[in-house]
Amino acid sequence: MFRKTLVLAYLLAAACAALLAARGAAFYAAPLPLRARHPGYWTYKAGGSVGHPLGVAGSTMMVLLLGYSLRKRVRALRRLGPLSRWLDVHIFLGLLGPVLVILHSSFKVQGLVALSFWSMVVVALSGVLGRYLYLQIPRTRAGEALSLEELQARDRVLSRRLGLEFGLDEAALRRLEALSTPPPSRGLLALLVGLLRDDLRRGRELRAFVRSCRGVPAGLLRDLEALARQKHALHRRLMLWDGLHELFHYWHVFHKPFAVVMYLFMVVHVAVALATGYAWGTS
Amino acid sequence: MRTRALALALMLAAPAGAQISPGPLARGHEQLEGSGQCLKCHDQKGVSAERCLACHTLLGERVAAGRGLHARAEYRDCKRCHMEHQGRGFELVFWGERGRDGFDHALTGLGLQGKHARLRCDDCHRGRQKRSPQQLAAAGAGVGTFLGLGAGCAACHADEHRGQFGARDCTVCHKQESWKPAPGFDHARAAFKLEGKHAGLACDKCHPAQAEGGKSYQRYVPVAFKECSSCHRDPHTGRLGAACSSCHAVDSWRPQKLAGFDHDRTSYPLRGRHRGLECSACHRANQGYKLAHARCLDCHADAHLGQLSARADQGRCEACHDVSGFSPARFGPEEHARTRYALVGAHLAVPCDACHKRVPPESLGRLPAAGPALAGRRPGPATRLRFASTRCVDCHKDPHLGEVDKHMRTSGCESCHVVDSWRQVRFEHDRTRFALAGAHARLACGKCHERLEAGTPRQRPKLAGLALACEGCHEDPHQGQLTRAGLASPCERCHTTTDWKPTRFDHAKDSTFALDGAHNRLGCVTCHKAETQGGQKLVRYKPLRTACRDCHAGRLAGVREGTSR
Repeated sequence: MFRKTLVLAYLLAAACAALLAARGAAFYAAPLPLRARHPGYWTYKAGGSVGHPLGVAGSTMMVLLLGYSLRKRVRALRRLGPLSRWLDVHIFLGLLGPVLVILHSSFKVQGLVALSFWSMVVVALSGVLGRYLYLQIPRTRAGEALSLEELQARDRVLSRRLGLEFGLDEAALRRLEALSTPPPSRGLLALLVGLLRDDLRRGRELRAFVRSCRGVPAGLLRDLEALARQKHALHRRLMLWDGLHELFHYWHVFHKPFAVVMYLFMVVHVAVALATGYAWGTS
Repeated sequence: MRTRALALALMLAAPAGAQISPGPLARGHEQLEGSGQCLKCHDQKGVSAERCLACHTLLGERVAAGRGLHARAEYRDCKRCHMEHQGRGFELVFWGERGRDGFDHALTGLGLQGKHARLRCDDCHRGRQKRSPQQLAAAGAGVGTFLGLGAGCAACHADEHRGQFGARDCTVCHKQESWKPAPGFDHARAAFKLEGKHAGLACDKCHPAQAEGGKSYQRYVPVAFKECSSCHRDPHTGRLGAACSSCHAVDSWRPQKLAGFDHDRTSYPLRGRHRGLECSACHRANQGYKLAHARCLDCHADAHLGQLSARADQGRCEACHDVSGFSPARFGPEEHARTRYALVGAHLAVPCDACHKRVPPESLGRLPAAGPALAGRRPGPATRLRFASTRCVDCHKDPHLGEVDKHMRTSGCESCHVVDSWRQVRFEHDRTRFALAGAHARLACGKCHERLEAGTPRQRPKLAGLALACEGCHEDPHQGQLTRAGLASPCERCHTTTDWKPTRFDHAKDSTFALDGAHNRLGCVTCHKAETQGGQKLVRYKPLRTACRDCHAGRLAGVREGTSR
């Protein structure tokens, strides 16, 4: 239910954002010196009848997504649903909020608020990367990270299923584990690049591996590929266990300071806007 | 790692500086730039007109007074037109799609019409027509302000009338379409109504340009107009008094100029044909009204081109003509009789122009002095009044074509003809070599003088070269019976001009057969019988046999035959 609601929310948000962007496209595309004479100026400018509510909504979303951090840190909030859902909401707000703020800015970014804006952009993009890294670390349904032993046990189960259900021998399993996996010893940046590059290759390599397996009925090849994908991913996470955790740690170090800068200047921006008369409904 | 991330954030923040402005202010407001000055324009309600007008006091006064564009309700919110933070070069005043010169000036409360509607802004809103820079600066107006220009005409236009009309509103007479003409001006409302020809005059005809300070303007008031002479020059130089209207009307100077003028008041009362003349026939342009009139030739050209100037009266026209008309002239036979050629006889009935024909002036041998009527023109044909001689042939053609020149040289045509009639000839035939006697004296001329070229216009009697002998006119009825060689006129041996009957014939002398005895009693035809010869009848006279038996053949039968001559 939550998943469906989330997908629906994404679709609705994307449609609204696309509609707003389309309606204001002429204004957004106009050169800055001419925008003041554009018919959409009083609607789509940052303080306009549409632009201003977009800014308020975007800023509000950026504030609300901090609930995820609270959920992680405040024990009393644990009863308010699993952490993975908080993260999904955090990601949703972290994606939609910047989109609304970008539309609020009408693509005119200058002055002090630019710091907040660009920080927001960095935080949002890094959030996408963080989500990728987050997936590289196997977790329970509740979002809690699995231990190394739990992973090794799961790996053994998958190896046994591949042997029993599809007749893969030990050599075939080694071949599957040897599919492109970045070496863990070349530094965190090389690890990150290697992960992305391998993910791009993996599908083609897995299909080649499945085709090389003899004696598997054609109707079971898709099941074999799915099981082989789980096995390969799990094996890579086992192999890169230390590196992935270190990478995820430094991602937090990158993600949070920009978020702090963003919030700091956002507060200044809102304070200045309120002080100069740009309260809700005064534009 | 945490330290590195903070440094990166600060590095990104550095270019943005500490400014919180959404963009640079326009050039006119650049002195308000800076984060410490935001609240000079902004307050918690945003940017209110009160804040703007707190600086723009000159505009504020007008808004408070409800004057001008900014006093209109839709223009009260300054920022709706004058957007700020759009950059230093941004034009704070937005004139609309049609640009500054397309601005609807009516929004300011002063609609532009006519020529004003086609002017560019700078044509009126120029520095010299605004308030002084000091005034504007004191009022807080910018350099580019459009304020300070009054709505009255005098705000831009100099008073072309130099105060002649006081403080009267220019638009009473002038419209915004053009300065000239002034459609609002109605001369009928002036003290001097324009009537007649005056209505069509250009203004400057009566209101001449005057100079003042090196520039000219037209004097409209005051202008003297009580008398015609206030504007018009008196062409009569006062001779006819000051009451112009007694003769002239305002409708036209020329056609009605003598409508009330009595020419009898002048030294030349108009009579006869002169009464019907247009004034300009005598009083030509630039000649004035005082004309010489003692002689007809003062106005008229000499129709006779001086032919009569040698007369004792120097050819005064009045001798023959009067003002009732040039023709007919009062010159009849009596007057003609006083010339060198009195008209008598048939000449009395001859029209004048039969002798006095119109000829080119050159053939008259003299030309008159150019009179006013000729005015330099070459004279046309004139009637010849004077002739070099009065001989008949100067007028008449010689119908005899020179046949009688011998007589003409001596005594002219009058030797035979008289002026009473051409046909009345008084010729003395006895003066010729052929005196008329007997029956010849009773004959009509044409019996002997046959018509030459009869039936043609040149027909005439043959007068000269006629044969003097009888046979020149008469035919020989004897068909040569009596002709004898060496005898010039054998007719006269027997006949005379008195009668045809032979009175001179003596049968005893003039023939070889003398009549005696019973022969004397015989009639001529007894012996001279008629016969036909060659188709013509004749009486046989010769040769004729003279023997007895030639006549008496029956009675003398057997008698010896004799011979006759």
